Amino acid sequence: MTSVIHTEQLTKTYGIHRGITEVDLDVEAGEIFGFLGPNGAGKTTTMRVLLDLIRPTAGRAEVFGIETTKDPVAIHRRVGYLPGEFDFYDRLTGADTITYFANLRGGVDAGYVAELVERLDLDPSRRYKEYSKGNKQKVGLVVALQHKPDLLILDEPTAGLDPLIQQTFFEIVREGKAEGRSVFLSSHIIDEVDRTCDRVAIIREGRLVQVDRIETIRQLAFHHVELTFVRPVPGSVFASIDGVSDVEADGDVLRMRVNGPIGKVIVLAASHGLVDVVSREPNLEDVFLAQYGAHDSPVAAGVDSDGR
Amino acid sequence: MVASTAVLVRPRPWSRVIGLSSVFAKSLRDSRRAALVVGFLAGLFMLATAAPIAAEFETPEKRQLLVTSMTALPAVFRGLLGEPINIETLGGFISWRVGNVLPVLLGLWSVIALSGTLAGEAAKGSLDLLVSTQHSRRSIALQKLAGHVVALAVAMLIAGILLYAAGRIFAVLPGDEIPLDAALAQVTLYGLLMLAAGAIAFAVAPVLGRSRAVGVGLLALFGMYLVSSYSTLSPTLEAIGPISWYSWTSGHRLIAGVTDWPSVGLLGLVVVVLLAIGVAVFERRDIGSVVPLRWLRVPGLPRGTSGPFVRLLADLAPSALAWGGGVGLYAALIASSAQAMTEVLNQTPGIIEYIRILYPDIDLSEPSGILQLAFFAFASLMAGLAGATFLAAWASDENERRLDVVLSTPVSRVRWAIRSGLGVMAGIGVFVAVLALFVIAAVAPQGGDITAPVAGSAILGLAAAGFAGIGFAAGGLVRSSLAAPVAAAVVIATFVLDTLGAALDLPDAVLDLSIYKHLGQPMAGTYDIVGIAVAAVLAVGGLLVGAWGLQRRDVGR
Repeated sequence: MTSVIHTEQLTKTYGIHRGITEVDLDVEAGEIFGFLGPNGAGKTTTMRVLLDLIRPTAGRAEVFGIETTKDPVAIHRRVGYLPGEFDFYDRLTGADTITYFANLRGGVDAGYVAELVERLDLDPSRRYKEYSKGNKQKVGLVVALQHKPDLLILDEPTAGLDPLIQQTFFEIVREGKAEGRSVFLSSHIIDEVDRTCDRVAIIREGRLVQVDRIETIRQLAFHHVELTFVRPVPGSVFASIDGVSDVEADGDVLRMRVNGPIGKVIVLAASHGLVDVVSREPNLEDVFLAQYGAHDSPVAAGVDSDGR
Repeated sequence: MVASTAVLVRPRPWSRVIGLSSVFAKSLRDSRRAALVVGFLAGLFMLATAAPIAAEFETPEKRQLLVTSMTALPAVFRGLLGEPINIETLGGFISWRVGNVLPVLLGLWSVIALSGTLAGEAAKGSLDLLVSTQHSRRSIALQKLAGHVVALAVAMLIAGILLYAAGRIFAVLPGDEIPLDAALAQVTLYGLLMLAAGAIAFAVAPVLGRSRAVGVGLLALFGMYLVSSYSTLSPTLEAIGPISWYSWTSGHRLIAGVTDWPSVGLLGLVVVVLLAIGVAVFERRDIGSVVPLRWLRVPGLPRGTSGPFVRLLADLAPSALAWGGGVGLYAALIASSAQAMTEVLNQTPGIIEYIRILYPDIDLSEPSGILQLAFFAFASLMAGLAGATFLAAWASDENERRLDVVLSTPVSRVRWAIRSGLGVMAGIGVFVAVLALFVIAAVAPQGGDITAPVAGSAILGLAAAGFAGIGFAAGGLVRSSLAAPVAAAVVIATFVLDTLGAALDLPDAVLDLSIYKHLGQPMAGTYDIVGIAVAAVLAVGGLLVGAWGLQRRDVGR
């Protein structure tokens, strides 16, 4: 697999303010990559560096193997971008706005634009300033998608969209992937990211804290484990096992949180008359919320389970 | 848990007046810089007007010559400044010279502020939040109004003190002194005159929206002035002249020793009624709901979707047409009065000799000469400010994050900077073209030479492009939002230097910094290649420096 996005020790500071710090990231061709993190974590900064809208303070970034500061126009030819915050031209209609950006790019398929407009349920005849927040977002999405770019960089693409249109958008994204395109997106719709993305990175306070395939993240993350015994067992028996925390006793039942493999817990439980085990795998939202709340970085920055 | 940080700061003692403790205090806080700029600008105008009187007309005989010359001016020219009342005194001269013009120029502030204080916030959506608090709509509207009125009062207080200072500094003959109470009462009238057009904009803004309210306010601002000034030109204007508040209050000049308080009271009453209408309409209408007036749109203008150049030009075209039309109308009025002006000047040998000494290359028998004499300085200020407003539109691409999307296309930064920059220059070109059309329409029927004033208009545009170039350089090197303020600051500084510099006895090296010292008398057909070349270099060089700067810096910082 070749990387469409590759960063090495990518750092951007704004004077005394933090931007991003030593971000190492690889996004492979043909994958949908989710970029998650709390507000102000550095997602937008990373995306803007990738587009050469801002320049790295240290480190480097490449898109399609091209260093972003060297030939940004060559990158832009193959990229579609939707910023997290934007405002188009008040006096232009939606159609005018889409036309303008199509003209800046050239070679846009009018039929595909019409299809996008229809699928996103956008009325292109209204002036931009008359649109609701969601409809403005739709105009931005059409602008980003209309030229079928090899790489989509989308910052909060579903912000303001109703649930049906959100579904449609993710369908379009998945269709793009099926055609071999890559997507790098940030979103707070964790369910959809969970269902759509191949890999995710979590960034917090400017540093990557986790990068991996979603299923691997789930496996590496904690499980909620509920053990039922033939008789009450003291929680202290399990509290000393590495990775076990928050042990609660409730009659014959012990509930605990287990980080990492649960094999040791099961073996020990079996020796105490284990009757039943319920282990709930965390969803991405659990992982995400845990990372939002964490204060130390549990995963080496930028390194995933595949060693990438 | 995030460590607790003090977000809600303890209110400071003065925050109930200027700060974040109330809608009124925040409105005043938002207006503080504008109030200072307007106050000091008004004061500077008065000082600049007073200084030459003290320097050039320091004896009773010279003052009498001034009075004779000015009262002999044709009615149309007297109209521009109002009736010359007691202009042999310093206060009389200042009130005559600035009394009409100053409230028109600075009244722009009230129009822009009062049209946007509610409608602008409604368009942004922030008014929804404000109205959803426990404050009633009426209370919000009244507090916002009060914020502007108090800011205007502060500005006029500054202007009044500087007017008093002008009397103290430049009084050379008995009667030149300006009492403080008279100065403050005089600027109270100026404040009311400034507020009047703003009050109209405020009254219509809840119905028409901000931008149309600005248009209506500007129409009132300049229309009332022109109707009053040119009422002698035609029976129609004469018939409608009395509707102008400038006509009502023309006899109220405290610093000239004459008063007409009833007219001031009438103006005050009209302003209060208009503001009350605005509050009442705001209370009753849906927030942000605007009546569509499709017939008001300028028809046939291209939408500009083929690239950055035409995109910006399409956005600038309406304002370029409006600027060109406004300044062009003024040029046409001056040019059409040229013959009468020439005749009067010829009857006043003293003043014509004086003008010939100062402007040896100007042929006062030609409309072009009169345009150079009576129009060029004002037009240079207006052209420069028009260019600055075009730069503000240019900068909005970056300020509003559109540029992020534009630059994510294969359009390079340099290409965008150059092409959108040329769009600004083309906007200035549209301004010049419209101005030239008005000049031709006024000069040609008199059989005058149209080549010189048209070329002069083009050179005005070139100088404005030069100032825009300076703004571009600042915008490209540092950030786009600086472009318009930097260009406007240089334009205003140049204007002040031209009008005040000699009176302040500044060294020639400083006076020569003004580009207008090096352009010749272009409206009159005399050209100085040095200034023209400098303007061209500033325009082109500024554009290139700006593009280079944008290439090197972060976008959207």
